[in-house]
Amino acid sequence: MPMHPIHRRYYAEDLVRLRRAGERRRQVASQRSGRVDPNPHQIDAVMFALRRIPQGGCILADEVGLGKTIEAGLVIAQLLAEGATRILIVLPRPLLGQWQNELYDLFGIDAVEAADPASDITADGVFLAGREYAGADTGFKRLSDAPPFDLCLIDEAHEVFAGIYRRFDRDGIYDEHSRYARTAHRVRQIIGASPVLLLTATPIQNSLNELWGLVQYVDPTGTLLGDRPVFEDVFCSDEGRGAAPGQTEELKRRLDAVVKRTLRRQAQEFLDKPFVGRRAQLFEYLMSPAERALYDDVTEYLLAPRLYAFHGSARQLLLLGFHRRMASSTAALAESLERVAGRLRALLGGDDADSAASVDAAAAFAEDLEEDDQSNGMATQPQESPAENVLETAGVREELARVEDFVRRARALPQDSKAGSLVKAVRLVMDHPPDRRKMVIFTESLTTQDYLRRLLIEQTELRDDDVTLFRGTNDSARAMAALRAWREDNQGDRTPSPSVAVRLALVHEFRTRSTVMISSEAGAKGLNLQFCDTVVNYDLPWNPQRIEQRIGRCHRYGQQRDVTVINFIAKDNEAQRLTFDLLSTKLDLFGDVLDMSDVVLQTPRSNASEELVSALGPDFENQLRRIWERARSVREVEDELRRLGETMEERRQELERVKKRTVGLIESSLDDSVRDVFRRIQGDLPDALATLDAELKRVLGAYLDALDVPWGADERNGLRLLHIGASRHLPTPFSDGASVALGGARPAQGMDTLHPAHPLIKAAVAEARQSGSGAFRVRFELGPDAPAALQARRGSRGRLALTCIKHRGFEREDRLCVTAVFEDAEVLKPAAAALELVRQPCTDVGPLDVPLEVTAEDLDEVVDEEMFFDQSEVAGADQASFEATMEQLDQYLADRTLVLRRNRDRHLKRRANAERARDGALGADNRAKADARVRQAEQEVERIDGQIEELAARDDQTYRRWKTHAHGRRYTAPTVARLLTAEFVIA
Amino acid sequence: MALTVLHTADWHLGRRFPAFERDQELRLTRARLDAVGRILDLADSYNVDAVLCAGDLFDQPSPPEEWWGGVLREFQRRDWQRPVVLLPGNHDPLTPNSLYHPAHPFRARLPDYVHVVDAKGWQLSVGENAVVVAAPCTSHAGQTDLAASLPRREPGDDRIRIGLVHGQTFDIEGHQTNFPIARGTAADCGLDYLAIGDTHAFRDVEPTAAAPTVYPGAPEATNFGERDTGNVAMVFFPLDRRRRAMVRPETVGSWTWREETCTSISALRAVRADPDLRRTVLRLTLDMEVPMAEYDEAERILDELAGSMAATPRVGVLDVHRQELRLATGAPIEFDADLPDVLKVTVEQLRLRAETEPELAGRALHHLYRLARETA
Repeated sequence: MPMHPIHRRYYAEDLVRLRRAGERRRQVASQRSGRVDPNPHQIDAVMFALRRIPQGGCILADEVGLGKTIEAGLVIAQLLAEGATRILIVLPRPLLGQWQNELYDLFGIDAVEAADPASDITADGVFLAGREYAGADTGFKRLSDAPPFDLCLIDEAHEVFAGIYRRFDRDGIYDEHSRYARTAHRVRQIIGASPVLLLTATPIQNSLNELWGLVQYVDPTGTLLGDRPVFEDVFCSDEGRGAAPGQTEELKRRLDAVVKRTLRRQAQEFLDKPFVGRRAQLFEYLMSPAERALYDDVTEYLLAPRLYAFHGSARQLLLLGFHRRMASSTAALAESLERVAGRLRALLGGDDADSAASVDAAAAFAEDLEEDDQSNGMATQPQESPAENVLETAGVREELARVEDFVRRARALPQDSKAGSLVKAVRLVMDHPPDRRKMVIFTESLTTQDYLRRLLIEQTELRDDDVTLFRGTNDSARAMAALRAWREDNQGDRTPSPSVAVRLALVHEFRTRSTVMISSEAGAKGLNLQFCDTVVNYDLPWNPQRIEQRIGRCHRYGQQRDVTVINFIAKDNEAQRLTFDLLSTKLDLFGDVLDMSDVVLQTPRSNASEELVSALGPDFENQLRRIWERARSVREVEDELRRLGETMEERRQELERVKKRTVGLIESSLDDSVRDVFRRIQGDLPDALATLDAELKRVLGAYLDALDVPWGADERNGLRLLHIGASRHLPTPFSDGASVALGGARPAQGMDTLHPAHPLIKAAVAEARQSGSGAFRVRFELGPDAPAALQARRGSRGRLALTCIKHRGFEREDRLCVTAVFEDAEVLKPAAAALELVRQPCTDVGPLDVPLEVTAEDLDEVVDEEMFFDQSEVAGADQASFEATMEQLDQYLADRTLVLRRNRDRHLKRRANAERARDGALGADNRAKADARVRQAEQEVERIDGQIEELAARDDQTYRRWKTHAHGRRYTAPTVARLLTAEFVIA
Repeated sequence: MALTVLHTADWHLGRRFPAFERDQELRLTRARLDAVGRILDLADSYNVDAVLCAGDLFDQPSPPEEWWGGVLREFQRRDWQRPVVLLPGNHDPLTPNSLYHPAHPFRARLPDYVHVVDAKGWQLSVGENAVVVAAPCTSHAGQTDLAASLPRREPGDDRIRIGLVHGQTFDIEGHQTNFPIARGTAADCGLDYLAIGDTHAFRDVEPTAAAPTVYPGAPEATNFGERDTGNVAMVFFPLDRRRRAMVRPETVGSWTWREETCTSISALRAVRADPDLRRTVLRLTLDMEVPMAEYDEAERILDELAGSMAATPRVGVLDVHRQELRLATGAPIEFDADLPDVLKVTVEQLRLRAETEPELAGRALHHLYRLARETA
């Protein structure tokens, strides 16, 4: 028999009602909405974020490798389930694909790229915006014109956004027109009043001011750390490189309110999968004399101060592109040389489109290197003024002859030593046990990518099927076949956008069918390849962040084994070796570096390569560009690289000094108490999840019964499944029947796990609301477990109401309340017994023979009473947040007062000095001057005294504004929604 | 409709705290005024039918304008219809120079919804179903049972009847009472609720009586040793008169008063480790004899707790009694090896002297040790 509408309504409302961040139910609900089993530290972070979001947001700053993206995904999924509709994620563009994949893969969220003209960013959705796009005119205009977002999330927030502090002037006033940190400013404007989540593993890199800058995003009151001058005065020493003596604990206490950081050592014991290391294997190859000669000659050619081929507006683009392709492979070199020769021929042919030819060549390089990203690409290079007509035909001819000679020599090379070295490396990996043979080979150049594919198929045992190619645009027949195969393997209701789908499909192919993935740089931008533990850098990008991203595809959360990174260096190419050494010794990019016979060549000084790369990487790349642009000989390049090594060492040491001084500010040293919290979470989870699953099943089952849809449950491979028959009343795509999993993060392919925001549950709730509203007349048949308070009331009649009390204070909370009053005016107490009443079996009855003595007005009164007590219970929970806010405001005034008092002391000293000077002054003039200084100091002291008095009287606009705001939240009256009423008889 | 009332008392606005430094005293006195704003906001959020203030709202009959001006502003910025009743207590009795006197600017400027109980037999209807009956204190001390003086319920009057007086119930044996209130008065007068003020702790005086007699307590504590302070009483009157009015405390205060005596450095460290002392008035008594290193540490901890021009205080209001912090003079003192020669000589001389005058020489050595450390 279908469940009674009263029950359906009650259970449905109880399932989806808003709960506080601290309630386990809310935490497990977000977990169920993702295909992920979060670790305790992630749940702790999600709780923290959910609690902070109504107050402006927070900074999630776990150490690298602890899965911040999963934390953010859980928060997003939970907010979406609770009614949020618009979410913006601002991120470094290279991470866009990764976010898109993870949100889809783990949470079923199809995030769209905001920059895509086809995206309607005024509609509901989760939008991904590269920070460069958000900071550029077009993106900024589109995003700031869009309706507000329910949440804005900024990934790698320290990189661009920490610089926002530079827009605050000496008085702490925000300068709208400052020339600094424009992207940070614009994103701040786009965010407006929306809550913010910042993700960063390194909130402090160079200065505490960066941390202050980040806090400005998540503390809309601006009172937690005060304005910038006050912050510097009260909390900083050594120009922000450390905390002021005696203030470390105070600053830490304040930051604790908005920063959540877990360290690897704290989370380690709770992780199913341990942290794994990385090590690099260095394959050194010897170039043949012909290769060596060609390389030297081309390098010399490129270092020449004046080249016709590289003359004009795109000189730098061409040169740098050439250098990178030359380092990639001889195939790419040959093609580059062909392009250059073509350009020279165009010049000789009297082609007046000089700059057009140059741009064409640049575009071809860019296309091969898949440079479409303005921030990383060559297009950001300053443009030279258009070339004047300086062609000297003879000179061009000479240069063309030289380049054509290069082309011939390149084409005629009998062997490619580096490629030979790769073949060796691949064979070594193929000798691994079958589950350790997967490898991903990265190259910057598409030409190289095609070349390597052919090479591996020709020279190793790998067949065509064993090699997956991945590049920015995957429209090959092979890619389409992979997409079809993936769709067949993933028959679910999820249909991601085509670009996400093809990425997932190629990864799927690599995971399930092929052995080697050869990926262009675009592949480094978003794939999760935890199942592969060998990364090959066939060429090395100049941007260390790109190398880190490549390694990070495999060396990431979820990887089970140590990751091996294979690199190639030409023996006796000193510049190449120096560059590699910088990456491995200054940025610790590769872990232990081993030679081909596993001899350790170099051991890193830290395991914080991500932090170092993030801090030092951008400058490193710029310096490399500068060196190769300006140097005029190979020796000069080598000298410059050595100097760069020294500079980087200094910067690294400075970073380490700052870190040492500031690390305690955001990290808890009380590892045991942190672990205790994680342990509690871990202990509570199974029960909480089981309860949620049972309630989901009850609500869905009741819904299906009400629609008369057949369904059944069973267990397969440890998974509990619900099999649902076909019915046109079910929402698509379930109307043809479906199976859904109850619990479990990774159900069978293409199958959903039920969660409170699942379409079937949403439909069940909607049905329960429709059928379970209005007035009922029922008889309760008490079950054997009915509480004594109900048993004692057998035969009694009365009225009941089911209400939802909506609290919107510091946290949002909906509370369900059942009130029942009997004819003798007694109210059913305790509240738990009243809740039990509506859980008892009941049936509809006809009109009562004798009208009830208790009236609807009596019931109203009892509802008021329940609300009165309910409000009091919730008030207790909000009081702590209120007190914390008020204390923050008090402290804000106290900080400012402290600064004023210090100033006052300084002026008092000045006055004393001036008085001494006056007393010892010779001559009326000197005395008068000293006297003026005394008066000036006195006036200053008087002025400061006035300001101190004002603060003591709390006569401050910011204070008053936020105090009123806090009072408003703490003392907001709840609203009551009457869900249903019933006249009842207890049988 | 059922009736809800917010009942408060004993604000003691204007109370001085001369034991503390001026800044700290100011924080405490202002906290009292803050509580008024919270109380009135709370009344709004519960949408109560009336706010009853049961005396001693001010610490004296005619406090400086700073205090009554603040309360007046809180009232004036609300455009209420619900009545607020102010009752003169024994600290702020209704006297000719009191701020409750019609000639006083405070009284004169009160908005219409604020009523002052200014006569015996005072009554105010709250809606159609309730009436407040009240009697003011007219002196600092008295033996009149003001509750007993309240007008009895008239036959046929079935409205909710709330009494409002200030005084002390007779429930503490041998306790000298001021404005005593006899047990059972609420029932005798036909009241449904007797709202009283004076004691600073929240108490339902007769939990089993049909009509509650309740002290809401002070919304902010006024001294060490007070318990259950920081509340107001929220009262719900069911329309069904057979049911007792329901009362529960609701927190409005934010300060805790705490006394701590430390007899060892570890006890002092434990105080320091408490992260939550910002809204605490801490009276810290040190009673310990410790070696030099711990003596220094104790001083550092005290500095940290108190704060300075360089560092933010850890404690909201700190009252330190350190007379019994003693140096264990017998303990050996290790000076740094790089002490200047002249000081090394002095140390040797003092050590010799210690054989004859251990107390004096010991103290001198300790002073020297500390000076040397500070200089280093």
